[in-house]
Amino acid sequence: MTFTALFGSEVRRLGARRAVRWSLVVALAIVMLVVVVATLRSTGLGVGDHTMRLSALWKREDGKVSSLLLAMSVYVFILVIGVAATAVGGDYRAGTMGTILVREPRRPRVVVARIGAVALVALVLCVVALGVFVGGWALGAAWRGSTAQLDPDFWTEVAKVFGRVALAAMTLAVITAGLAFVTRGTVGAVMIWFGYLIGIEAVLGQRVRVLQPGLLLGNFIAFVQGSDVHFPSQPRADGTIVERYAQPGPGLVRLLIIVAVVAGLGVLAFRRRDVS
Amino acid sequence: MAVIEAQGLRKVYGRRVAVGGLDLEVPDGGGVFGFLGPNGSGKTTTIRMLLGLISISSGQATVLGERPGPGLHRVMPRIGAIVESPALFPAFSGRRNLELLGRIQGVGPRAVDAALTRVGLAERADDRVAKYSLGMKQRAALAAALLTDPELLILDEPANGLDPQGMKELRDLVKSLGAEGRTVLVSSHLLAEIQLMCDRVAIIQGGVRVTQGTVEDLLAMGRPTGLLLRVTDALRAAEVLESAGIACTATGESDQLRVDLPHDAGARVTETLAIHGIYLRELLADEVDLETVFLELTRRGPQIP
Repeated sequence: MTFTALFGSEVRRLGARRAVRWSLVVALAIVMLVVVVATLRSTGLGVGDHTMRLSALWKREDGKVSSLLLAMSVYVFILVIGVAATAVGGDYRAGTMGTILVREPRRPRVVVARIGAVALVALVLCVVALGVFVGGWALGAAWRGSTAQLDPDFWTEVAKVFGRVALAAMTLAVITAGLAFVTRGTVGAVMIWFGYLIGIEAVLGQRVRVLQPGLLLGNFIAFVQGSDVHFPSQPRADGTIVERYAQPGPGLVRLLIIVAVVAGLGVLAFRRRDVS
Repeated sequence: MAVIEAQGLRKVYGRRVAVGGLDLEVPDGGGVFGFLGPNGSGKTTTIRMLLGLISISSGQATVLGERPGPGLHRVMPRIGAIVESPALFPAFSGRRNLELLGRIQGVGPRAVDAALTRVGLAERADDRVAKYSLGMKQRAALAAALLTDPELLILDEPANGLDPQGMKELRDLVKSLGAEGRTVLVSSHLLAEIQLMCDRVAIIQGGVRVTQGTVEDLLAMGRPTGLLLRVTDALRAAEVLESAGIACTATGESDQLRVDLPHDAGARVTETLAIHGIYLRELLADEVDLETVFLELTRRGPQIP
């Protein structure tokens, strides 16, 4: 049996899962709700501050970027984490992991195919949901809002943000699937995420600020928004503050290293453990 | 040549020994091989080890000449297996399940249709597996195991949860699969079913093989066959039979005797009694069954086959 056949089966199976379909429905519902409400509330240029501006998708002012597209991607990221966790944990719960293994006993292949399928589904989820959002927002702005005040490279920047968000969604999916292979369950993978965000990012990161530029969240945000994330230190005795940065390029590298490490842990765990 | 061989196969969970040095040999050449043991005797654990689902603590095993593990992929297309319960994807239809599994194994819709028809599930193939009865799930899982037309089938407790009609259908199906030249390993604790469908059996207890052989050989290990006869005056009948040199014993029922003669000796018994004016109300063959042998053997512990 070929890896392509295994991967194809995994993609089809994952694509047909209710968790994936519901996630897509929820993602579309959220973005359409936002677009419809913004369109209906839009009062046109110069009247109040509810004008639906196309430039809200991505705008640079005084060197700072604001992007509604990035804000909307948070919902997609959360859904992607849920989908990736259930894609692996669901099989453990249903006892169907063994059903796969009695057909393909080479476990690393099974893990790689599953993680690859999860990443692909995350990409599709992200592209569809945010594609509908961008398209809907552009139509709404053209109809009842404003398409003015666009940067010359507006659509190029939007496309770049779109691409980065899609890649970021895939990395989150791979990390989560890897965690689910380690924990052998949906809840375990999600709990590790919560534990990490609260324990490491929020608590440890605030106490030991020198760590912050190296942690996952800062690098993730730097990569997705395509600009540096600043981490000022606590004021020193002489009153000085040291600025540290997470930057997009190194951020992506760190992100990919984390992806590789967690996916590798998933492969190792799945290779060694009994499947009952 | 054995399709499955195990020597000293052992699985330990912490301090608990699930399988304690099992030797097993499932011969090639087709037929149905029963793998018997009480609940918790290590049948499923053994099958999981053979299929590479769980690690082997010590000992050796081969399935179609390959050791359990990654190398098993070379022979997996020749193996069909159901382990413990029919684990299919509940949200998909039976057909969809088989199509997805078939895709992994490189078989197409034609093989899926053939397998569904073979197990009698063609009419309900498009219903969701979650709506299937346990018997239908078992059949769907069996269809999945048959997708590649395997030469070795490993079925772990396939009769679990089936009603009498379902058991009969399964028995007929398994027997027909064995008759086609496939080797079918069936694990079960349902001894009557095993006796009806298997050619050879291995009995394990506490993760150790108690005995292995043909069903006939095992039955021969039990008490000898005899005749059960029911008469109005059992005491007088016993005296008559003893005086004629026919050994008999009381069975515990006041009007019943057991005669230690082969089944074809009924005529001699009836003639002997009739000469003395004693007429039988009932004459039955007292057959030893696999259950009797199984209970006796598992009580005694491991035997040298």
